[in-house]
Amino acid sequence: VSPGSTVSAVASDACLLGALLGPFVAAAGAMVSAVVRRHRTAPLSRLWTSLAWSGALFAVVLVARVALGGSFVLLAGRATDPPLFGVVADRLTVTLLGVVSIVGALVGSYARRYLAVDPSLRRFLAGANLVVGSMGLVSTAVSLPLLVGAWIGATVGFLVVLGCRPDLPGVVAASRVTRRNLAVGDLALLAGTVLFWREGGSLDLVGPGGRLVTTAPRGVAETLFAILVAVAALSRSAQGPLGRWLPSTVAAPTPASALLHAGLVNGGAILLLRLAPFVAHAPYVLLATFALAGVSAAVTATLMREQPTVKGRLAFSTLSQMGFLVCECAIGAELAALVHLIGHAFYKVGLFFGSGAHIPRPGSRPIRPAAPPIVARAALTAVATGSSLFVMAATFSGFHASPAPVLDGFVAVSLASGAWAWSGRCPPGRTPLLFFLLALLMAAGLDGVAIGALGAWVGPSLPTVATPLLRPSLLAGVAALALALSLGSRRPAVRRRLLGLFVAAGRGPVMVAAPDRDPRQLRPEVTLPLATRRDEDAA
Amino acid sequence: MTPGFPARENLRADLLRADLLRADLLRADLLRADIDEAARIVAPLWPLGAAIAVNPLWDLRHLPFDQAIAYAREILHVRGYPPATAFGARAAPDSPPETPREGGPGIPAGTVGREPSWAVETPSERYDRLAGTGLAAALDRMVASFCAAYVAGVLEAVRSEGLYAAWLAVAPRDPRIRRLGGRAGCHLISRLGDTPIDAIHRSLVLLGVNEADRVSVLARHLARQPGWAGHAKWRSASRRPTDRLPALHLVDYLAVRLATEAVLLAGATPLPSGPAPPRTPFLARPSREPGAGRRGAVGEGRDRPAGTTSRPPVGREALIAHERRYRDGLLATLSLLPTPARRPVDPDAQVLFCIDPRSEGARRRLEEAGPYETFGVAGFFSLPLRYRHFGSADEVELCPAILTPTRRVAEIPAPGAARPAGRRLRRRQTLEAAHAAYKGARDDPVGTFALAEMAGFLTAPITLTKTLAPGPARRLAERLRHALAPDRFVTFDLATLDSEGDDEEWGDLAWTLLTSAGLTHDFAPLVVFCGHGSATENNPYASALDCGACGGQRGGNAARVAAAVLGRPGVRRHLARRGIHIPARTTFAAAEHNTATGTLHLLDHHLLPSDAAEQATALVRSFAEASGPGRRRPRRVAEPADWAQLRPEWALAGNAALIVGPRHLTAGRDLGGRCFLHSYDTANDPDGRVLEAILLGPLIVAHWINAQYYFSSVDPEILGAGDKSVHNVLAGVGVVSGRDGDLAVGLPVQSLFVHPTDTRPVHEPLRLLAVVAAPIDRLETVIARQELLRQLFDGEWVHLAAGGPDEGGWSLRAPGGHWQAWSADRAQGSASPRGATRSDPAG
Repeated sequence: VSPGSTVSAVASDACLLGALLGPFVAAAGAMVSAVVRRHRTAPLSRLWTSLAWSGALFAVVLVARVALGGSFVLLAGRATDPPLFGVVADRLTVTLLGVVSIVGALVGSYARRYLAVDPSLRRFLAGANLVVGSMGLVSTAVSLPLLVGAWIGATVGFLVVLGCRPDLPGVVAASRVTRRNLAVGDLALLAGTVLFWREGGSLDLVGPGGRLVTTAPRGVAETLFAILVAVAALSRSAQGPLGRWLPSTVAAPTPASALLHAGLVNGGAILLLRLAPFVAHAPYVLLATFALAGVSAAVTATLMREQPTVKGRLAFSTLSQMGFLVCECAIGAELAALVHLIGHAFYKVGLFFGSGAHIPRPGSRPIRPAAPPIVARAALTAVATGSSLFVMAATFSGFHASPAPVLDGFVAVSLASGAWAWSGRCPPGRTPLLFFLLALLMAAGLDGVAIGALGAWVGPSLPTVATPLLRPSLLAGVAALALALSLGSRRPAVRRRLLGLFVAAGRGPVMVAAPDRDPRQLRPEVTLPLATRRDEDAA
Repeated sequence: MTPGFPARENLRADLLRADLLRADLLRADLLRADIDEAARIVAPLWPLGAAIAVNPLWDLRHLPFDQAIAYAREILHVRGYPPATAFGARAAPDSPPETPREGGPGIPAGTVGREPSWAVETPSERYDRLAGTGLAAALDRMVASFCAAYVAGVLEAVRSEGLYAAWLAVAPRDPRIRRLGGRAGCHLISRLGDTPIDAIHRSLVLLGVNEADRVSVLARHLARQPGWAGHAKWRSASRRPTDRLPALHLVDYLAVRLATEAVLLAGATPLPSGPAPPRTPFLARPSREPGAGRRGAVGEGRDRPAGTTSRPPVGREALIAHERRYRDGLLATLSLLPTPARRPVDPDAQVLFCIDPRSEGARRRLEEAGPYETFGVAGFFSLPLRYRHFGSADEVELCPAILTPTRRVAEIPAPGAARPAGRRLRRRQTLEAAHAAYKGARDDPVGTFALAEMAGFLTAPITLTKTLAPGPARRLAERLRHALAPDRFVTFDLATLDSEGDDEEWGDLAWTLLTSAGLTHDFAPLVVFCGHGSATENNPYASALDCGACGGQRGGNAARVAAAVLGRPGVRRHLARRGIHIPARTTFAAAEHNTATGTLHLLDHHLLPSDAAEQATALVRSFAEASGPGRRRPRRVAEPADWAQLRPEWALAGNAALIVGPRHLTAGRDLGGRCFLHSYDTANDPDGRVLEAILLGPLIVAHWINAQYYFSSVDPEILGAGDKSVHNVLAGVGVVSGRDGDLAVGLPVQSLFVHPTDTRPVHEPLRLLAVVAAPIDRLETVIARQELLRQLFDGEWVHLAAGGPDEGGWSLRAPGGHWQAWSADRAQGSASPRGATRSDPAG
């Protein structure tokens, strides 16, 4: 062992530790200062966000380190023991760590100014950094127990963030429903791990040499474990019946939503990606997960369009995107899932940060130009879509194959619908047309580079659950369902029947403010208390 | 009719009775009148795109302030007077009588100033009170979600007939109504009638509301969600809705509320029979004009239960004491000797600012910076414009909400600039189309999944830059915007103005402008009209920071039009005929004061002749130096264009007075940015018409702003907009806090408090004090002519002081036109009130 390699190993370890510990130190510091509360403002908040950013910086350096020197493991204790506490830095885990750290640091920077005078800023930063640190640990843990612990830590952190300002309307109710739903997933994961261990499965996620471990007990225990992992993923990603909590969380300040939508709900996908070797042996469980998340994605995408508020729309958009993401994980489109996870995180962070900018000022809309004839619109759409797809394919082929051919279909539909909408509003003349085509091609090229590079980088090391039963083309089913729901809900006769549902969707139970008494069950003999105050959410 | 709720078996009989009632068409008219009467409790709520500050109790102005508060306290459950904590350590000269403090021994927080139980309640509130349920809140949530869906266009398929018709179509399938209303409730829906008026009638009968209580119950219903009721009130009265939102009318809104309530209560378990707790009638005072109103009209007196009249309104004494303190300080400042020179001799330029309190500091700085003279007028420069931006689809009303625009003006390309102007329009359309493309992909059921990830990779660098370096990001975006769509080519040229008026009509408007500013002689070579606006980012309340006199728009365009009008030779000839001679060498220019950054920008710089352009540039430069980094800009906050900035500026916090008078009264005195300053010269106004216009225009605007600040800081939980950090933009019309609920009214806590959980506002809640440097006789003549002014001054909505050094001292007006001399020695406010009208000015 040469001294040079020792130095490099120490530096790598320091990077990994720094990336992981940065948010935790910030969380601890912010929590201490929240308890001490010497000042009304938070003078040290800049320090805590700087710590989070240094963690993000370490994560970026770590990506370079892994790219140059390959993956490595950092273990606490002797290397011969079955490693319980330790983290692994391979291509997948450092990518996840980097995304989580950058999103977390962004939210911290934004929140520090957004909540500058808010008395709960320090608690917010503590909770947010706990979420970020925990999600980093979930992304990199070497053993199941460590992963489960970090998983629960992220829940705790988010509940702190959510409950920072219980005086705001709806926060108490949102905290309650979130706590219940996330607890279901956390308990499922905990129970699954215990069961797995009792049945003699290895708790290691990473074996000697950093290879993925795939040994697991056969039979019922394995299926049960897969079910419990799926429940955990569905609860964290707010799918199906476990998704009610997500729309209620917009009661918390904007940065809390940004953190949740970009850094926490994608935990379900991260879990499935990391445990892919374990759950791959239970294809029917994965198929059921796919079905549930797919239906959920299609339904919430339909409901998204009926939301009257900006944040309500974003919440339902996240529900459908997470459904799609879980689908991708469940059927072996792992690379596509990773791309989606990263892209969606930055997309939602930006949208939540800018969610206040949706009040149109009168007089700002330009005259709408006359729409060109349908034929011209169709031609423009075809040309724009075709050329952008070509550019994307060209950039893909420079790096790596497309993540999944079926996804090219989604991209094509997205480009086509965008180009169609454009063609209806485009001003006459060559310049706007060239501008649009150029912008679209640049976007397609950049996107192709991003996805292609990501595929080349992490693709080969991704674990997969794909089997003949589970194949990415199943995603076409989700698309078909979403399309059917969308077309159906636009038919007047159907729509009229659904409107009551649309009005009620996402608004939560109406009786949350009641002092736990349902008027239908009121018995005349009940002694009537006198309620004198207006009942509010805080009651 | 007995109060209480009908059991299900009585339903049929009740419906029959309702049918009989319906036959009486006269009753429909009565009901409409009652609805209008009930709606006095809420103020119209303009959409946030052009937010208008309004006194939330404006329609109660026929009552004196204290009576209006007493009424609002029972219906809206507001406090109405500042709590003891509102003034903090600010010393009052005469300490107010001991008032109970919240949180003090034996008094739980939140109870001071609140009745133990409310005399006026809706049927669902009554049910809740007796049964301990949460039906009223559930009703609010349901109606709010319904209105939100309606306004957002979700109910497009069924909305042709208005909100109530949409409700009829949708309610039977709303799972919440099915759950809470049960079989009886759902059965009821189809029998409530087809029109909203029918529905209100039948629901009121079903709910057992006496006709005598109708106004108060309807008012309480509206008051439970002042935001939605205010939106409906705005929409019902709006003379020209500027957007294409589905129309939500007040009658429909009430019909939906009452119908939903009837359905919910039909599904609720009937309350046990037995003597109900006694209800107390709702209003306290005897009417000022007996017999004038109908039965149940607001302000109509009925007996107040014993025990409630004796309690003095909490906080009233403190309010009066602090108003007195502020008034004495201000009048003392204004009486200080020696006064500066009457008017600067030969100023380099004259600048007309908006009356906005934020102009006060700017004017002082500019006057210190050089030989400049400043004036204050309402920021629309007396030009009630309907303004169309170049290439824009909509017109904007650039005038106070109390006026109706009489002039239409459109931006057109300057001569020879048709091509660049066309390019600019196409670029804006291109950006709009790009946004449409994004929305098209986002709303596509399949494309949305791929869009999220593609857009994420593209927006990540933007998000990073805007978060980590907001200042450079803003400058970059501005440069990009300028490169894409430069302003220079779209000029504003009056010679080819697409206007309805000719020179004489414009000239009359210009005459009004110059006379009300008191600028009728001694013109400087350069006269600058300076509007104001605030450049902020990601701010739903952006329009609340812009010019209130311009209808919540930025004031630059009104200034541009004013400069263009006065540059017109025909207008100047007309002015000369009316006695205002503007020298040929005088040039009029336009500028805009960005209140968020405290900077001044010239507008249409390229249109000025070269020497005037030089002078104007010098003016802007000396203003920038005077407010440069060496001098601390007052009350400035961090980068206003940061998208993470919730408080880009303090705006009008602290506003307390309107001073109408010549500049030498206030020049050189730091008034702390608390005063609206309107120029006025008695010599120009022998018959009081100018004064009348000022009192009916700028004074009302100032009062609305002041009253909005007052009530939002006194009752932030009911008449304030809540915390901006949880604001959620709804369909472009307003914001709700969190997931759903009522539309926000008033101002957010960030505009009023340092910390969102503070109890002491930064804005000191005081009623407006109008200080008018004019003879008392002239003021009384004007007040006698105007019922509205009588209401405001006699009802103590606005305090009035008049006189000034030129008149031999200040006098204060008490209700009824009793004037009382003010003197600095007896400034304790303990001067014995003199009953005599127009007493001799002391000193």
